[in-house]
Amino acid sequence: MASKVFTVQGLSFGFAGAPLLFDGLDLSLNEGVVTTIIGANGCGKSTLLNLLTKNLRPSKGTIHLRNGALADLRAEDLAKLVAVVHQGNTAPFDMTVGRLVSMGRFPHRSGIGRLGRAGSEEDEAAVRSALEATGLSGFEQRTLSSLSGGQKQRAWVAMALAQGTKVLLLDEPTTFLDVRYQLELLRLVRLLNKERGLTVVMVLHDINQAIHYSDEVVALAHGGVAAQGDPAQIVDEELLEQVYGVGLEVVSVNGKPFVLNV
Amino acid sequence: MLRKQRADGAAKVARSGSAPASMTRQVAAFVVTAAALIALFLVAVNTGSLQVSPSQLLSGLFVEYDDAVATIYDLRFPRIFIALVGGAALAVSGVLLQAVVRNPLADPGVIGVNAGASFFAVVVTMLFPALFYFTPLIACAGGAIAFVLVYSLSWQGGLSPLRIILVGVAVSALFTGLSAAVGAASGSVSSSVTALLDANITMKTWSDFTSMAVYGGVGLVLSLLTCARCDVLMLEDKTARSLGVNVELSRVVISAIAVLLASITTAIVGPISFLGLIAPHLARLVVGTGHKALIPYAMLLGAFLLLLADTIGRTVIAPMEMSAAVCMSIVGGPAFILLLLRAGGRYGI
Repeated sequence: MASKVFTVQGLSFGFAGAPLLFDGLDLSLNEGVVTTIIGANGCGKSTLLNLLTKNLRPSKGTIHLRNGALADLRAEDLAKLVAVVHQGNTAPFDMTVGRLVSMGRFPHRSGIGRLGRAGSEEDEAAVRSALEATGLSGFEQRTLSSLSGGQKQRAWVAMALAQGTKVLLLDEPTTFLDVRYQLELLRLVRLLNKERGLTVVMVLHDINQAIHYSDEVVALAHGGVAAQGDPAQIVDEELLEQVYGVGLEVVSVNGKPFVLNV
Repeated sequence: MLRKQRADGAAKVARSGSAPASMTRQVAAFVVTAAALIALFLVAVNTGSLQVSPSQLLSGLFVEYDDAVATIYDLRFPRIFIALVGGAALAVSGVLLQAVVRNPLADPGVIGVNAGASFFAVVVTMLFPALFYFTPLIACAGGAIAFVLVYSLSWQGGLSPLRIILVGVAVSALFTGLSAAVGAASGSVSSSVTALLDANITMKTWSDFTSMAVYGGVGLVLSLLTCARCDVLMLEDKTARSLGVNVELSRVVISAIAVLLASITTAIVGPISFLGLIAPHLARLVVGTGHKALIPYAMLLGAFLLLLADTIGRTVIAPMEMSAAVCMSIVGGPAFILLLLRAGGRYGI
């Protein structure tokens, strides 16, 4: 059995003044694969990512990162183990790709490095490799605002890669991208998993992309996991009805389920 | 689809800091501003009823006693040096506050820190003269109280740029009113109180400069240590957190440094508004938003601007004097409105 990167046990969480979003959620995510979390709006996909990265604290239950309790981990150490690309990132108007990506090294710079001095060789190598992986070499001096939507999103991914973690979380990375950039990004995700062995956990809205680009799908519904596993095995009309509350036809294309979502 | 663009020296470029304000441009900006500051210093030394030539000044300072030079040394030098350190402190305070509340309109004067510090300083001077030596520290407490008030009153699940300015203006008005009340109660007996209220840098002594330099120096050095953290705070909170930054703690620490810098200046010079707004904005235009260059450059520019304001104040209506705060307000008010109008689209103000 594959080792687990995140193990969630008995997790409860709700925002103040709202009913509980999760009540006793149990979930474990496999190391070394691409896992996509799907679910209806407001079912807690992003909230789950925020709980996994200590942006939010569970009111009950525990989360383990590999074998250690997440709660005991300092933010600085967590940043060396798990990198996240959140939604709706903003940066100052003159932020360049080079500067942004090198900020990914922040958790690795201690003491004097924090003064903003040029980083070590290791920092440099990590930044260079992150730029290469995302196809942004040569863009270091460009400002973010001068980039296309797809390039911009890749720059944020590059910052996360520069953290040099084995685990990468992506919160709706394809939002606001046209289909070409969506595919570009998802292929990048696959490539990072294959070549660097990155464990990827992401939230996607497009069910077909989730099926096509993930090893595992976690379908959230009604504060719990409706189904988890190989998308080819678990995605069917019944599950989609349960998760999204609409009847969708599922056909088979090249041996994989394909959801007619129009 | 991954274009393998091999750009030589990519790594070198990647760490070169806050382009597009290029390194050369940044260096040039520092050199030019420093030169302007030295020139202004010489003009300031020679502005007033007593005038000496540079050579007379140098020989008077270092070689032999000279009556005119000694007078300038005791009367003008402390004032000039206080303006330099105070200007640097206010400018950096503005940079830090703007990073903390992620709001380009934050200024220690506008959001009430100066008024809080000033009120506490006035109360000490008036009611507890025995505590005179602790005035800077007590002023810091006042500044901190005002800041915490503004911060907590404008917090609604996040900091709205407009709310923080509105609440700041109200808190500032409250403390300014209280200071005026205490000042009025003192009659015009206490000239040190009036001087504090007017923010006039006249009649400063070397001991005033010592307090300014010690507390201000500590704050300025500390501010340099926060560069990388300020950069990260300019991103979204959750992104900063994902880089391992304890966002809440960083905010508290950086705000504390900002409050120290603004309060100490207020305790020595009096409340000066808008410098903490104008200097950082000009600095960003010149050296970019990277704090590694921004903070040191803001120091230089702030020092220049406050000395300029003070020197102009000494000259325009001579032999009367206009305080540096008045100068700053006359220029700063319109600049603030301009920034407010410009920010409208971006910040939903």
